[in-house]
Amino acid sequence: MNRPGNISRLFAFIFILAPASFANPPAPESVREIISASKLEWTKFEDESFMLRMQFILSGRLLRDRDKSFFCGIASNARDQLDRYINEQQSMLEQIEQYEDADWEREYGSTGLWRRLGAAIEETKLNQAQIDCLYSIICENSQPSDIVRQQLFKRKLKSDLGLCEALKVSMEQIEYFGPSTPNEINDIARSLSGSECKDDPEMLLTLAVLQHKYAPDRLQRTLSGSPQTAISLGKLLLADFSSRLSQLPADVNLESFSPLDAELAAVAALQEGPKLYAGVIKALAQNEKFQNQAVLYAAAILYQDSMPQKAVYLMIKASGSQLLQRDELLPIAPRQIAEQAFNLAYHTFTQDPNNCQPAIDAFDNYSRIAPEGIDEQTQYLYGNLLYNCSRTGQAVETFRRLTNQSHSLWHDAATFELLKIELNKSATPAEVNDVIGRLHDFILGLTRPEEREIQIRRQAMSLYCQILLSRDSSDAAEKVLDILNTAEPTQGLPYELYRAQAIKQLGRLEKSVRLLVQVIDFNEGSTAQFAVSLLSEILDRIELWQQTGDFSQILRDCNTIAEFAHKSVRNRQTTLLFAETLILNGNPDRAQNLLNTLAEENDVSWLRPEARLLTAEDKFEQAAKLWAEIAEMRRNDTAELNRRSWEWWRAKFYELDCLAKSPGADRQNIAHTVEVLQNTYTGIPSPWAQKLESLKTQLRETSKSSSQ
Amino acid sequence: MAPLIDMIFLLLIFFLVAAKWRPKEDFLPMQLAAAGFGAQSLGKAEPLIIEITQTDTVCRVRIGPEYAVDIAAENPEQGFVGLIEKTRQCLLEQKRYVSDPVEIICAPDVKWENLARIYNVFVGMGLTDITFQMTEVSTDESAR
Repeated sequence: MNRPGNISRLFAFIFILAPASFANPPAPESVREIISASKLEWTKFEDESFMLRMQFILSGRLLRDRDKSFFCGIASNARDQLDRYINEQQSMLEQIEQYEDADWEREYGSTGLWRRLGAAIEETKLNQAQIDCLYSIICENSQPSDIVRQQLFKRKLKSDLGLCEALKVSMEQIEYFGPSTPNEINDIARSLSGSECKDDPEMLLTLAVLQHKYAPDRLQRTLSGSPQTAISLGKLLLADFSSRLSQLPADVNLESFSPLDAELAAVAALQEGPKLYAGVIKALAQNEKFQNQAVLYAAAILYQDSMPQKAVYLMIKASGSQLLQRDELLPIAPRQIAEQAFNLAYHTFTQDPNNCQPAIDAFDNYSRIAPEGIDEQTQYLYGNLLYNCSRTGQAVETFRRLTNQSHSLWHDAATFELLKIELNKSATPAEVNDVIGRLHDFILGLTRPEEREIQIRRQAMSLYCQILLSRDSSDAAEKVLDILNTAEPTQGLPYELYRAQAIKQLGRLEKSVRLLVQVIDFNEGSTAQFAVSLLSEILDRIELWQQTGDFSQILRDCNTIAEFAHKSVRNRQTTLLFAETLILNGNPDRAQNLLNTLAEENDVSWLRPEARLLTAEDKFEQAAKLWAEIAEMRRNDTAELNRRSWEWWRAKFYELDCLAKSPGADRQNIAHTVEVLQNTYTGIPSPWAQKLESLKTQLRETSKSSSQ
Repeated sequence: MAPLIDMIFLLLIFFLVAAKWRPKEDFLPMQLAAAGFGAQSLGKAEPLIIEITQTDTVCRVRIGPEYAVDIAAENPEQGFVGLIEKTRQCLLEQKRYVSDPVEIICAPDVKWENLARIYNVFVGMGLTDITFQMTEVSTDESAR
C-alpha cells in the first residue's frame, strides 16, 4: 500500500540532490593535480622509451623481442592512462564551466586554471596521439592513421612553443615521418647549437641519431662537441651490430657500417667492457677498413689476457695511429697507449722469458713516441729485459746511462744490476773476488732509510751471502758473519738463515741449530732444505754434545727443527730424522708410529733410528744386532787397517753396551772384546774412547762382584 | 807262444808299476759360519786380520796393521818360524785369546800350497776361530 509513496519520495530526494552535486565544481588543487599527473605520465613514458626509440630510428627495428614487448607494454599502459586523464580533465572542465557562483572568477578565472585545464586536455590528446603513432609504427609495423598525423602536425603549428620545445617537436616529427625538406636536420642542428638546450643530452642524441640516418656528413661535428653523445650513439651502434652479427656473417653486415660507426662502437665497447662485445670487436679488427686507433685499442684490451703478444702489437699500432692523427673520441694519449703496451709486454716477458721480441719492440715504440719522457723505472726495466734477452752490451749501456743520469734510487738499482752482470761475466776467481769486494762496498754505501734502497740492500746482501756461502769455506763464512753484523741491522729471514748457514760452516752446529729455531716459520718452508741438512749433520754426531750442559736444549731444538722439516718436506729422510729426535727426546711411542709408516730398508739412515728405538724400549739384544749391522756397514769408511770412523766406533760402542745390558750377557767376554778394540786400533775418537773405557771398567766390576 | 793269460797278467803288472798315484789333497779343517748375519760375531772381539799376498818368489803375510813376514820359496821353514813369532807377539800386544777370531784375506794369486801351510801354522798355534774373507767373483772371472 505504501510502496508507490516511498518510491516517489526517493525520486524527489534524488531530484533535489542532483542539481546540488552538479553545482559543486572541482577543487583547484584537484585540477592542478590531474594536469601535472597527465604530464608526469607522458614524461615517464618519454624517459622509459627514449633509448628504445633511438634504437628504433637507428636500426629500423627493436633489436630484441623483449625490448619490443616492453615498449609496447609501456606504450599501451601510457595510452590508457592518458585516456583516463583526458576523461577526468574533460569532466572537470565541464563542471567548472557549469559552475556559476560568484567565486568562479577568483577560483578559475584569474588563476588561469580554466584555460590551463583546456590546454592540458589538448596537450594530453596530442601526447596520446604521439603514443598511438609510435605504437602503430613500432608495435604494429604500420603507418599511423591520417587522423593521428593531422593531430601531430597541429602540435608543430602551435605558436606558443619555445625554441627548445619547437626543436624537440620538429625532431619528433622527423622521427615519425622523416624530414620534410633535405636541409631540415641541418637547420635543426644549427638552431640547436644556438639555443639554451644545446647541451641537453637527449636532444643531442636524438639529433645525432637523426643525422646518422638522414645527414651523416654533419654527424662528426655534433659528436666532436659532445663526447657523451658519441658514447651513447656508440652504444646504440654496438647493440645494433652485435644483434646483426648474431644473425648473419660479419662480412655481410660490415658493408653497411662506416669507419666512424666502427670507431663509435669501439669507444663504446671500451667503456662497456670489451669482453662483452668480443665478437663485434674481433669482426671490426679483422677488417682493414675499420682498423682505426679506437678499434685497434679495443681489440688490444680484448686480447690482453688471452693473447698478450697480439695485444702488444695492436697497442703499438694504435699508439702509432693515434700519434699520426689524434682521435678525439678515444680519450687516451698515444704515449699512454705506448706505455701500456710496454708494461703489458714486460709483464708477458716476466711470465715467459721467450717473449723478448714483443717487449723490445714495445719499448722501441714507446721511446719513439715519448723520446724524452721515459721514466727511470721503465728504463731500468728495459735494461733488465735486454740483459735477460741476451743483449748484455745494450743492457750495460742502459744501466750505465741510468747510473750517469741521476742520483735517484734507480741509480743504485742500476749499479746493482751492473755488478750482477759483471759477476756473471767473471771467469777467474780473482775477477769474482774483485766484484764481490765491490759488492761489499756497495752494500755498505746503501745507508738511506728509503724503502726502495732497503729493498736493494736486501737483494745485494742476499746475493753477497749466497755467493760466499756457496764456497763452503770458513773464510767465506766469517765474511758473511762480518757483513751481517756490520751492515744489516734487521733480524729474521733471510739474514738469520744466512747467519745460521755461516755458523754451520764454521762447525758450530749447536749454535746454528739455536739460531735456526728462532727464525723458522711453520707456515713458510723456504728454510726446510737447510734445516734438513743441518739436522742430518748434527744428528750424525749428536753424542759429541752429550757432555755439554745444554744438551737437553740442543735435543729440544733439534726436535723443533725436525718437526718443521717433516711438515715442510714430507719424505723418508725427514720422517727418519723426526723419529730419531723424538726418541732422543724420550718420545719413543710417537717415533714408533712414524717409523711404522716407512718401508723397512737395510740402510744406515733407517737402521740407526730403529736401533735407538729398540734401545729406548729396552730390547737390548735386538738393538745390539742392528748396531752390529751398522758397524759392519761402516767398516770400510776408512782405508787404514788400524783406524775406524767415528760412526763405526759409535755403532761398536752401542753394540757392546746394548749387549752388556741384555739378560744373560757374558760380561767378561764383552770386557775382553773392549780390551782387544782398545789395543788393536789407534786414535779412538772422543767420546768413544772414554765411553769404552768406562764400559770395560763397569763390566769388570760387575763380573767380579757376581763371581764373589 | 805265450798264453793269453800270461799276457794279461804282464800288462796288469806293467800298469800297476807304471801308474802315478795322485797325492792326497791338503785338508783345511774349517767350519762354515752359521746362516744369519751377526748370529755368531755379536759381542765377539774384532778379528785379527791376516793378509796374504804373493810375488814370484815370496809369499808375504801381514799380521794386523803392524807386522809382516816374508816366506821365501827356497827356505819356507824360516819364514814359518818368523810367522809363528810375529803372530804370537801380535796376539800378546792386542791382548787376544787364541779363541778370538782370525780373518784371512788371501790374494787370488797366492799358491794353494802356501795358503794351506800358513793355515796349518795357525791351527798349530792353537787358533780355533779362523775364517776367510769371502770376496765376490765377477761373472767374467767365474766363466774363465
